[in-house]
Amino acid sequence: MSKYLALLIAVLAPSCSRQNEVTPITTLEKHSFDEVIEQHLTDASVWPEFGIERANEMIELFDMVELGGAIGQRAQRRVNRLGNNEIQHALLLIVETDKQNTALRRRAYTLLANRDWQSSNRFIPRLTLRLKYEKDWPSNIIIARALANVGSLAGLDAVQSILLNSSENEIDDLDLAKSLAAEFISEINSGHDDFKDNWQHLQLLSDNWDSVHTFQGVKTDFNQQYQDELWHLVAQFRSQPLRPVDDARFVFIRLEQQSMTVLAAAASDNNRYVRDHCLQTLTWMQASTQLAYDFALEESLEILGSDFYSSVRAIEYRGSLMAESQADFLWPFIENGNYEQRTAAADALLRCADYSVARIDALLIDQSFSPEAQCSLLLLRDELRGNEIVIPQISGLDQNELNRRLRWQQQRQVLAAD
Amino acid sequence: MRFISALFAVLGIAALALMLAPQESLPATEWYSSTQCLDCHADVAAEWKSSHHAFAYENPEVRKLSNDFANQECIACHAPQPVLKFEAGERVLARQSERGLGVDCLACHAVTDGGVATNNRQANGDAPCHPRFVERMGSVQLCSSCHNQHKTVDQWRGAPDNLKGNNCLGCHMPQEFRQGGRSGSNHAFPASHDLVALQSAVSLDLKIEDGVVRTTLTNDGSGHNFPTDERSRAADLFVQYQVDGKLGEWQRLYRFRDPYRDETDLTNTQLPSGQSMSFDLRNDVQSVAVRLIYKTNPFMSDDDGVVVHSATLVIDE
Ligand code: HEC
Ligand code: HEC
Ligand code: HEC
Ligand code: HEC
Ligand code: HEC
Repeated sequence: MSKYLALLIAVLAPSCSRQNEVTPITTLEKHSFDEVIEQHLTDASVWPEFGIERANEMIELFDMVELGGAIGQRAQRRVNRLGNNEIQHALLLIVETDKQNTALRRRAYTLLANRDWQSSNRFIPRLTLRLKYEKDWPSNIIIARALANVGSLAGLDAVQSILLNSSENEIDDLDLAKSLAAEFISEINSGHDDFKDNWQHLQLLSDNWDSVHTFQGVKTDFNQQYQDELWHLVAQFRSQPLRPVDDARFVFIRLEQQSMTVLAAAASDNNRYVRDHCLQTLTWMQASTQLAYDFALEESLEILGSDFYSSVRAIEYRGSLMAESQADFLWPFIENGNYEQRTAAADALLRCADYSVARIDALLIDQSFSPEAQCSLLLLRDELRGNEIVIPQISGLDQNELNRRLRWQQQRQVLAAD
Repeated sequence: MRFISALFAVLGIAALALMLAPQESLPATEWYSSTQCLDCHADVAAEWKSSHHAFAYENPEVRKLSNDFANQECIACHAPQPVLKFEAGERVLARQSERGLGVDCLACHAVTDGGVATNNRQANGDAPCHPRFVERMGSVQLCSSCHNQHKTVDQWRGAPDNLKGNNCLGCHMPQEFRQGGRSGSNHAFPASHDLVALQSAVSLDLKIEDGVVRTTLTNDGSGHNFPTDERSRAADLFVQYQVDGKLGEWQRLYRFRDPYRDETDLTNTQLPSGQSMSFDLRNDVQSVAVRLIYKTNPFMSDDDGVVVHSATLVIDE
């Protein structure tokens, strides 16, 4: 008898003291994840270890090659003995460290762009990061060209914004940058010389790259060295200072689509920051991450969904897939999750659109949702009923949060209409 | 649930009696929204609402710079999960709900297993929110999860003892009296948007010694560099001379500032806690005036900045 009583009290006491709060049913565990990143880094290759002096010597060697004659030949023989890794590292060191000498940086970028690297493409991430820090406009075009040569269109944004720039402000070498850009967009359009055509072709490539991260079927060679580089990059998510984290996020969202498989795999690393930032980065990339999902993430998402730290990000990522098929995963969180999970799941449902008005109505009656979650559910319900969208008036809802939800809804509708 | 209600019907009375009896330890309440705290703690709530913590998500300056938070990197500290969910010294991550509340009550007070954290060992644990003692609440570790990316906390560690205050709280959460005369901590967090706080940060001196006119700025009231920041603040020191009865233009003598990350050509010129910096000025003039202008961003015009201190010196022939 007393055993039953104790049980009863254990069950009832919390629900009584919480009055009209919801009791979280979904149990959240603290899983023990693997050291995914460490395992990959153990045997991963690294860049050669030399400093800027050696790099400057190397670039002088390239200058000598261009002199021609006996000196040029001798220099050429020495260049031939250098490995691609060494040359790339030297050129990257120069553009990463030299802030004053623009001409030298342009020269280094040009060498990166003009050489045939075959399949040695591990410099892509480091070069992509230059798009964040390089302030010289012509250099940005050369970076774009160097990247395009190895199957990455990450530099197209810079090319577009330079061609569109009609700024009155004095910008160093804007004209040079524009002519380099015009040359470049002709080059990637098989040498056509009609600027308008080339510009349209550029838009097309760029839209395509932004949505699926591929380039006319050309893929970045996904070789071991390149993957090693990506594992070093994803390891930056562990950093407490934010700069390495921001840098890695910047690069990942600009890489060719196969790179996402690394993010997907690292999403079950034992470091919670890594898990969080992997899922977050994949979410930012939206539907283009379907590939990551198909290949590596589907199974681990189940575990991530029940993890104390990662569940909310896992739910959010599901939403970014904008696929109705995700709804089965989402409903238990909407109905039984904690406050944060319910917000994430209601938002994800709005993005995926599950067709069950009655179920949403039932929820809205007796559950306490955050203003954000209420907003998502109301928008979805009105849409499903075929009503005009009325902007919901919800107290405590930030305008910016409302706008994001309206944008998600529209995005999905546009996608469905295509 | 049906099983339980059946059971309840059978055992109803006995169970109720037991449940109403005082229990050994109260079940921890789950706090999920800071709006739950505002009514009972109206005085704290009012201070907090006037603070930049409450403003962190809606702040138009932040909106502008983050492109309306389309740059999601920015959400982490401006709408954070509870700090106590992270190890001391680790940075926070973004939350999902009620972002409009910015750095809210839960961000600082929520503990993972229910109840709220306080640094008061004598706190009344039976209060509805179940306060319990958490060491970190009274330490810089609470603030450092969000305030050390630009090294404010590290700067504080290097400050002279007399300026360390009672951690960060001595200066930023001055004592306040609550209903019933209980002492509390001010939640308005006065700092760079508060002229009195700004004036207390530094002193500006202008005098003539052995024929040399000299102005000195001393950080004698800030427990970290001046101006400290997570964004880029600037404090500009200006001088103006009067020659032949005419006042000249204000000229900038020096800029105290930690540059943006990508301004790699600039160095950090903040004034560390306890330190001074002096400038020798012209003495072949009728009078000298100096003033210190604080700017919440480095591109702000002098007129939009705040004059923190000024001084004038008339030089005898
Ligand atoms: C139903 C009213 C009520 C609610 C809701 C409530 N509190 Fe309290 N809280 C109290 C009372 C009463 C005390 C005890 C005050 C006293 O000792 O004078 C207290 C004490 C505290 C203390 C400790 C004060 C000290 O140093 O002794 C903190 C911190 C606190 N509350 C924070 C919160 C936070 C954060 C929330 C929201 C999650 C919250 N409270 C919600 C009524 C409430
Ligand atoms: C590591 C935590 C953190 C992150 C991430 C962060 N901030 Fe902040 N931010 C702060 C803190 C702490 C302050 C307050 C100190 C200060 O004002 O310098 C602040 C203040 C600001 C201010 C000044 C507000 C004012 O009223 O003048 C702006 C603007 C701002 N942040 C914008 C951003 C933007 C844009 C991003 C994303 C690029 C961002 N923040 C990311 C912690 C952060
Ligand atoms: C969860 C993150 C977080 C924590 C923890 C935190 N802050 Fe802040 N703080 C911020 C952000 C973000 C801002 C900037 C808000 C804005 O202006 O938009 C800020 C602003 C400030 C300001 C500037 C106010 C102003 O008027 O510009 C001060 C002072 C401050 N915090 C002190 C503290 C102290 C002291 C602590 C520890 C008790 C602390 N903060 C804990 C995130 C945090
Ligand atoms: C001796 C008093 C004192 C101490 C101790 C102190 N501060 Fe300050 N703090 C100030 C003053 C005065 C200002 C305004 C001028 C400035 O920027 O230095 C300020 C400004 C700030 C700002 C606003 C910066 C901005 O950009 O708006 C933040 C954030 C801050 N302090 C955080 C902290 C933290 C975190 C600690 C503890 C590690 C701390 N302070 C310790 C006095 C102090
Ligand atoms: C930036 C962090 C921060 C935020 C935001 C914050 N607090 Fe505090 N709070 C503290 C610190 C630090 C103390 C002082 C140490 C202590 O007493 O535990 C404190 C003390 C208190 C106290 C006891 C002292 C007093 O003044 O009565 C109460 C009650 C309290 N907070 C309630 C709240 C409520 C309610 C909110 C939201 C409206 C809130 N706090 C927001 C950090 C914060």
